[in-house]
Amino acid sequence: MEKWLIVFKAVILGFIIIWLFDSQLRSESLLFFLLYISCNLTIYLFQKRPVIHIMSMMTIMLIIIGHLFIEQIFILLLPLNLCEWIIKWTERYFPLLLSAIAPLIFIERELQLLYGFISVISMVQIALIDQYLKKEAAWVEKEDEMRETNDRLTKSLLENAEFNKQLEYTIKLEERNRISQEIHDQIGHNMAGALIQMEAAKRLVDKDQTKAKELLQNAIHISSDGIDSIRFTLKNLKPKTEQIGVQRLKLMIDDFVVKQGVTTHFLYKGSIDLISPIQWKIIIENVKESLTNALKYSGATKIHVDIAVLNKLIKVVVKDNGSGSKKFTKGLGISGMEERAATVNGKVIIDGQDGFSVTLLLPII
Amino acid sequence: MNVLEINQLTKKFGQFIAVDGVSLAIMEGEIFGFLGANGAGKSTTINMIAGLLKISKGEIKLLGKDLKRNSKYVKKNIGLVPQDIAIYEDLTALENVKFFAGLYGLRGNELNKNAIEALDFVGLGDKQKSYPKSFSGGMKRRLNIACAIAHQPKLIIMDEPTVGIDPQSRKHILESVKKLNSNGCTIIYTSHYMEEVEAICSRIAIIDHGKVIAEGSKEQLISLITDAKDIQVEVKDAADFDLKEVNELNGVRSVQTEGNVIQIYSDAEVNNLNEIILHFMKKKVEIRSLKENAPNLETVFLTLTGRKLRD
Repeated sequence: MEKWLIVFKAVILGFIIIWLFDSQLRSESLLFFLLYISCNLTIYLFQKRPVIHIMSMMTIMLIIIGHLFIEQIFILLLPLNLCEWIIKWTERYFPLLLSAIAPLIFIERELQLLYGFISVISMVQIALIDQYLKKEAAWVEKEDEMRETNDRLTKSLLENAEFNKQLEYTIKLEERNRISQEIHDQIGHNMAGALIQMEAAKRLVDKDQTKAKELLQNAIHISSDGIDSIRFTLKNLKPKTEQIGVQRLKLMIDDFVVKQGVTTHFLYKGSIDLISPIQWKIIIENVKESLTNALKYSGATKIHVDIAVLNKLIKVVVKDNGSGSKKFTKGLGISGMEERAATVNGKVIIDGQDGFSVTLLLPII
Repeated sequence: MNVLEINQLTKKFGQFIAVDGVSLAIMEGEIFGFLGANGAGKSTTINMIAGLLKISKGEIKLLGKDLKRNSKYVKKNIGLVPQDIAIYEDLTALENVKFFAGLYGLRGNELNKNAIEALDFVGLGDKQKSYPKSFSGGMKRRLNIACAIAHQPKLIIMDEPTVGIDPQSRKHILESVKKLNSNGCTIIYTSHYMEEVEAICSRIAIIDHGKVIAEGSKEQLISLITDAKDIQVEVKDAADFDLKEVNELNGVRSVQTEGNVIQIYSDAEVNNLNEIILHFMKKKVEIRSLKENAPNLETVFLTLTGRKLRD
């Protein structure tokens, strides 16, 4: 933008110089040119607004002084500088045109036409540049917004992937713990028992063969029990995801109740084993968000969290008995819930008519 | 082929989001229903499709052409029957139809012929010269429809065309919707009367709070929430009745008695009512009453949103 303005100013300046070429160039004119150029450059060099305003005003004064005392033609520089300054104060283009044209009445006749022409061009140019800048700013803002959304979504995707990995790890860990526990509780005891029986049999084998046989038979029983229980332990499936999910949600809700003191009921019905780990994650995060919202805005004393697994849908409702809200703005919280739901083709419905309710619908995969 | 494609359509009024990211594809030859409570965003969506409201975000394509860039083409191919009756009381019925069809660019003989046809179609052929002042609410509605179809659009949008009219006119309108459809028109039909939507629509979108929360045929929508139905048979005496045999009937999942009422829980998709009745007859058990609670769209709406369609 500045480039265009500088070029345009240079063109007008050049025009004035050519105009003055016939009459001889006075030293005052030269001084004016230099002052004008340096003042203008300062406008572009400094970033601070007060400096820019002061320099703009000084340039305008300089032009008026130049017009009154040196050469009348210098007034041609006025409209551009005036418009450039005024656009910083107003959004509307009409005052711009008015202020650019206003000096017309003070100028002598021969210059009026030329001045009018230049002021209109200056105004149009400044207005165009201004619009361009505004549009650019809007685009930049939009781009930023999109980039932010993009970042957020990528992050949540990564989080989901991370969660899956973690879940896998947790399940492995839990399984390892369970196996070692079982080995300790069951198989360890069995083996120790069998060992004792066999030790005793070894001692008795010479003295009392029937007793020794009996003890050995016991040891065989215990060992075969042990083998069975090893088989059973290994076959017995991993901890079920629905148990992990329900447990985590319950923990989260209990934590909320303890910390915030709002009575919260949690109910679930239907085959909750159909809810996948990633769906659990989304459910838990969204319920958390809804609870926080309820606490922040509704003044509710009671909150219900209901999960219902229907034929092909999972429905999660968080409903409070608070003030509700007929008109609410969609902030980051609600958008976040929608985005999370969208990652598994789910929907979020928000209703503020009777208390506040957030319904999450997820298709069963 | 898709007649209409809607992608992430959004409409904001200030901070209020009336339509929130709606995406739909409507195929040729469908009667597509928008089902939702009052204020759910049905009319706003429709007004955007018809080009009456500016789109805040998203896009609408009619026959593959973007609405924003081809508004003339789009308007020629859409007929809108608005929710509020839009006809001139001091023009005759025929003049009304000709006026509206004229706006879509019909002229001369074609205009006359089409206008008369449209009036015949809605059953007002003998009222050409009458003024709508003398019409009943239902007749005005029908005239309203005639105005929207005379230019023979490919897509007809009907926004609650049966609100506040007599049963006879309603029946007539529903029949004409079906007839228009069999003539090759694609139709979007909005209503908060569940029965109408169930009766005529081949596919339905349930709209709530500006969002499409579910979409599909009636059967698909119902199967979202359940695959079971409930049959209650009240008999004279259920004391000695053998439940096991009923349990073995086709589709039956479980049976129990409550007093003299036998509750049969069964697959919704299996039509086994005949079989069940036959079984009772064979056993010489006297049936006092029989009730089938099959889930319908109202149940679907209630289950998904927690509210009724009409309060």
